[in-house]
Amino acid sequence: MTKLRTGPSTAIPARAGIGLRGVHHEAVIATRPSVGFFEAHAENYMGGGAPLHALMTVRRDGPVSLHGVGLSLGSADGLDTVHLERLAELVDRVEPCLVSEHLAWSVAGGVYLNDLLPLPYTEESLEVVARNVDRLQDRLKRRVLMENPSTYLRYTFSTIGEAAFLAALAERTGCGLLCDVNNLYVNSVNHGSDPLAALEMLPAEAVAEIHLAGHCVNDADGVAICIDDHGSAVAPQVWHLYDAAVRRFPSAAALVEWDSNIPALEVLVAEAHKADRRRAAIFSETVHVAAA
Amino acid sequence: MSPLRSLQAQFRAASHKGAAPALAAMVVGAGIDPARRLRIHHNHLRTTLTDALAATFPTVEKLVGRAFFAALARDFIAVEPPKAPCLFEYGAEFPAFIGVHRACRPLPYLADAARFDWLVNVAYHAPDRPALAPERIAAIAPEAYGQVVLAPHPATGLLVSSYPLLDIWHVARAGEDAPSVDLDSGGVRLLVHRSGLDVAWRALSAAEHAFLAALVAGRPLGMAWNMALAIDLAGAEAGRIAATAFGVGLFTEMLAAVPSSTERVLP
Repeated sequence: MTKLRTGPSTAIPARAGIGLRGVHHEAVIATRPSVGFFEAHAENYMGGGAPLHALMTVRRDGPVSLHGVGLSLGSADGLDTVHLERLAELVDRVEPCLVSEHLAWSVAGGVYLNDLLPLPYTEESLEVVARNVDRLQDRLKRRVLMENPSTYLRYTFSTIGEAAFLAALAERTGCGLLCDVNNLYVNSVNHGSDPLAALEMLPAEAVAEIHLAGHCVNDADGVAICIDDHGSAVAPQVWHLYDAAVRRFPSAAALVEWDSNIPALEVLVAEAHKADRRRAAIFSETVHVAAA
Repeated sequence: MSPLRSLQAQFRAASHKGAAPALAAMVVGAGIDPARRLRIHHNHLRTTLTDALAATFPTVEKLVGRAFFAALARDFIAVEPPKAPCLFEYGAEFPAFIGVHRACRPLPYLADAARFDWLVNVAYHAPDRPALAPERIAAIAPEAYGQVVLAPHPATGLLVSSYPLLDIWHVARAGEDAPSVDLDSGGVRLLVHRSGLDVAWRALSAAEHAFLAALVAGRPLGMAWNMALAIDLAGAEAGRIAATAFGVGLFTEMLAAVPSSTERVLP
C-alpha cells in the first residue's frame, strides 16, 4: 500500500542549505547568508521566547526544514503522543519545506536515552517503524523523510539490510528518505559495508534530501571506529559519496550539518557553496554527455 | 514480550547501570568487543545529558567546576533520567537533588543557585503569551478584588533564599577576578521573568514577594493584598507593589472576576 502525501510549501530548495544552530541565530538574521535553506532541530524550538523568535525570523526570510531528533520512530512502545502534538504544532507554525526524522529509537518505558539508537532490522521492527511513520504522516498530513542512521553496532538477529529496510519502509508508508552520505561512510568503516552499494539500493524516487557532515575516527581496542560527531568539515571520501548521491538523486536538496565544535557561520556557508559547486559540475558533465 | 521491546528495555537498563551481558550477546562484535560498542552509546548519553545540565545550570557549574559538576550530573542522571526528549526541559529536579546530595553539604547555597538557574532557563524558553494589560487590572472594581484570580505567565518565577544569591551569581560570572561574598550577609527574595525576549530578575521586598507569591499560587487579588498588608501595615508600598506585579507582564489572564463580594480590601 503506497500512500503519497503532500503538504504545504513542499518545494525542495535547489541550493544546499545549512543546519541552524543557536550560536548562529544572530549572525544568520543579521547577514542573511546566501544558502538554499536552513534546517532546524525541531526539539530546540518547542518552547517560546528567543529561540522560537529567531527561527520564525529566519523563516520569514526563506525556507526552513524541520529535522526531528526526538520522536523515536523505532520505539516498540509507539509514539509519545505529547511529543507528536508538540511537533505538529511547530510544523503548523513554521510551514517547513521539509520534515525529517531518523530510522532510530530513543525512548523505552517512558525514559529517554537522548541518542539515535540503532534498531535491529527485522520484520517486527519494520512493522513497528511503519506503524509509527504512518501515525506521524497522518498527524502532520504530509510526507516525512526518514534518515539512514550512523551506527556503531549491529545486532546478531537482524535479517534485513539497512538500505532494503529503508526501501521497504518507503514502499509501505509512502514516506520519503533522507540519504546521509556521512552516515553511509561512517557505517562502511564501522561495519565493513559498501557505501556505494547501499546508496544504489535506496529507491531514487523516494530520496528528497542529502545530508553532509564531518566525523571523527577513534580507536577502539586497536580498531578504528568512526564517530558521527558533526564536528568538522566534510571529509573527502564523503564528498565523493555526495557526488554519487547527486547523480542518483538529482532533485534532492543538500544540507550541511555541523553540530559540535561549531565554526563561524561563514565556514558553514562555504561548505554549502562547495556542495552547490560540485552539484553544478556534475550537472554540466551530465548535460555534456547527453549532448555528445 | 516482543524481541524489539525486550531489546529496548534492556538497552534502557544498561544505559544507566553499565555492563549488560545479555544485551552484549545480541551485538555483533566484528573485531571490537560488543561491550565496547555499547559503551559508545552509554558514554554519548552521559555526555549529552551532562552538557545539557551544564547549559541549564551555568551558575552551578561555574561555582563547583567542571569535574565536580560532571560527577554530580552522573549521580543525578542515574536517578532522574529524562522523561521527555527536549533537553532544555531536563533538570527540574536537579536543585532538590543538589539539596540532599552528600557532596554538596559544604556548599549549602548551591541548591538555591540551581533554583535560580532553573528559573532563568524556564523564563528563557517559556511559551509566548500576551501579558495582561495593567489597564484591565485598573478597571476592576475594588469590590471584586476578592474574586479575581490571575494566571501567571509561564516565564514568571519566584525564589526565596537565605543566601545573597545575586552576589553569588556575580561571583560565578566574574570567575577568577571574583570579589569574595559574605554568605552571612543576608538572604534575598527574587522575581525572575521575561522582558521582551530577554530574561530579567530583581530583588523583591517582603511585601512585594508576599503579594506575588499569593497571586502565583492562585489566591484571589484581595487575599494577596491582605498578605502584603500583613507586612506593609501602612500600605506605604502599595504603588511599588502594583508596579512590580502589573507593570512587567507577570500575568496573562484574569481567570475569575465575579463582582459579587461585599468585602472591601483595598482603600
